[in-house]
Amino acid sequence: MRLFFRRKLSLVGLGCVILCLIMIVFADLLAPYDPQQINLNQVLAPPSTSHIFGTDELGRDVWSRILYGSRWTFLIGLSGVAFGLVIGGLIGLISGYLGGLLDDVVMRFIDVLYAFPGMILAIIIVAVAGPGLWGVILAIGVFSTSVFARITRASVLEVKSESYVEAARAIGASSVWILRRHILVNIVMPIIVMATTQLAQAVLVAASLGFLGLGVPPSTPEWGAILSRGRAFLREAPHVTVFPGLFISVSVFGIHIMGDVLRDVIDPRYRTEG
Amino acid sequence: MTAYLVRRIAYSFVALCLLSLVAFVILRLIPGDPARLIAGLQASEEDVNRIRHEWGLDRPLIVQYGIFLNNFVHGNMGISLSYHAPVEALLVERLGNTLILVIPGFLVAATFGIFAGWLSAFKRNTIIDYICIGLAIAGVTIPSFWLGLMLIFLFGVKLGWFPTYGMGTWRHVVLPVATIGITYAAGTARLVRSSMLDVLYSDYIRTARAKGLGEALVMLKHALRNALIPTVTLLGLMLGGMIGGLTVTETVFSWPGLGKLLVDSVRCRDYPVLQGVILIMAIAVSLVNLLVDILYGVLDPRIVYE
Repeated sequence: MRLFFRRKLSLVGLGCVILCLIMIVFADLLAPYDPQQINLNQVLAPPSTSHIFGTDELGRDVWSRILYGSRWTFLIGLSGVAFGLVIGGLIGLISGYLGGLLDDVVMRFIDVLYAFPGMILAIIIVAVAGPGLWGVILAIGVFSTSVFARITRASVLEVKSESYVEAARAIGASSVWILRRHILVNIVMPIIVMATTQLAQAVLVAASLGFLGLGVPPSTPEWGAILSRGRAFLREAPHVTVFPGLFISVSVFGIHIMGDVLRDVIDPRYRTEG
Repeated sequence: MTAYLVRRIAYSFVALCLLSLVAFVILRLIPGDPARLIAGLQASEEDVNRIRHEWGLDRPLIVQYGIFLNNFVHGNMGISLSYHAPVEALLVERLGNTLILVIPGFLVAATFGIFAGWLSAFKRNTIIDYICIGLAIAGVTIPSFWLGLMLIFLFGVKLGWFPTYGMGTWRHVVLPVATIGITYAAGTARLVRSSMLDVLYSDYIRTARAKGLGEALVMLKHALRNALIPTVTLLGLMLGGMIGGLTVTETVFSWPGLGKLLVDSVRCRDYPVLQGVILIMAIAVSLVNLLVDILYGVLDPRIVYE
């Protein structure tokens, strides 16, 4: 029963991720309309055979906008996470490997970042960098830097005390060589798992910033932005709000489950219960 | 214990200084003249000059930071550009409004989260467990602004039970609190469940069972109490995050709290307010984290403060 449930859940999660991938790759082929094409005769039309998810306040096809929106949302999420991974990973790697005073100071700073609510941090970054694509990517990057720095450092500390690292050092290997040949390869897996979880978070933050009007320009077909514009017409045209939110949930759910599955596959210690 | 407390408070103090530095640096990072940013784009040259002198913006950076802290300690945080009111008064009012949501929201989230997590672990691998897990996953993955909007649509627009925005009566509180409760309960339930399962295989649980205690009592008295220790950290972070701003929820429900103030101040480039909000949030988060660390020791006597 338990295994069955887990397997089913993983399959559903995988299905969600595949759906998102298909949307991202084939958006041009699948979209029945141009996402920016305005049609004032068809304003706020409810779902029908010609517009399966209806149209927005400018008569644009919501389904086409959601399709193209998947590209924006994932572009922002992936770039943000990649940014945080590189910066946070480097900080954690160096800090954990060298240790000492540097490690203490750097990690205290990372702890402060980590304890500060992520969404607020993201908004502050946007305030400094200015709204727009780069602002949002930077915001997500900074927000995930502390997470990656902590996990990388923890993994480095674990690997550093292994005997094969000591052996390498004993035969006179340089620090760079040890870092590359022994440490990096052994910490890749936990970082990949963390990156998956962070991607789910990043998609949510990107959509939230879009919703708050602090993300990409409001006319961009980004999921949070579409939803935010639909909010004003919730009473007469709920479909503009309902469908983008559904897709955000589905994609975040899928990535989340994939993260759990990856963790189970990579680290059998977690496989026992749960 | 005393030594630990002193060190912990010192650490909080350092964190606060770092965060205040962030609030201070922001205005200097944004391209443009800080005095002009504080005075507003429409301000006259005289006003800009007056502010430059008042805030010491013509002095070295380190002096500026000192003036900034001194002004803050004396409750003088400038005038809001969009509200034309002193920032400190605005912050106090908004903090109060946010607390109206935070306190019931936190209680709902903690109660439901702990109960669902406990139930899930108690009835593990049964249908009840799966329902709880399913709900918890849904709560974690559904964006809170969408959840809020759906609640508004269902209970506000369709059924007409609750008002859809603003504050005033108790009815205004229900939907935002439900949104906060559902969102935050989900994360709590997941953590309580997994910490319960971690604890379940420990020796003291086996001993308790061997003593002949009923399963329900074991789960409640022995497992839950120990599982709550990691949960306290999460709840603390959660509370800090909530006070720090239910940015999204407050925006959805047009609730005039701190979070909405933060978003509005970014949108309107109201920099004095932005600075103030960041400082208040930094203080709230640091204080809550400090309390959590102290509470930790009370809950778990095994933790020895070196």
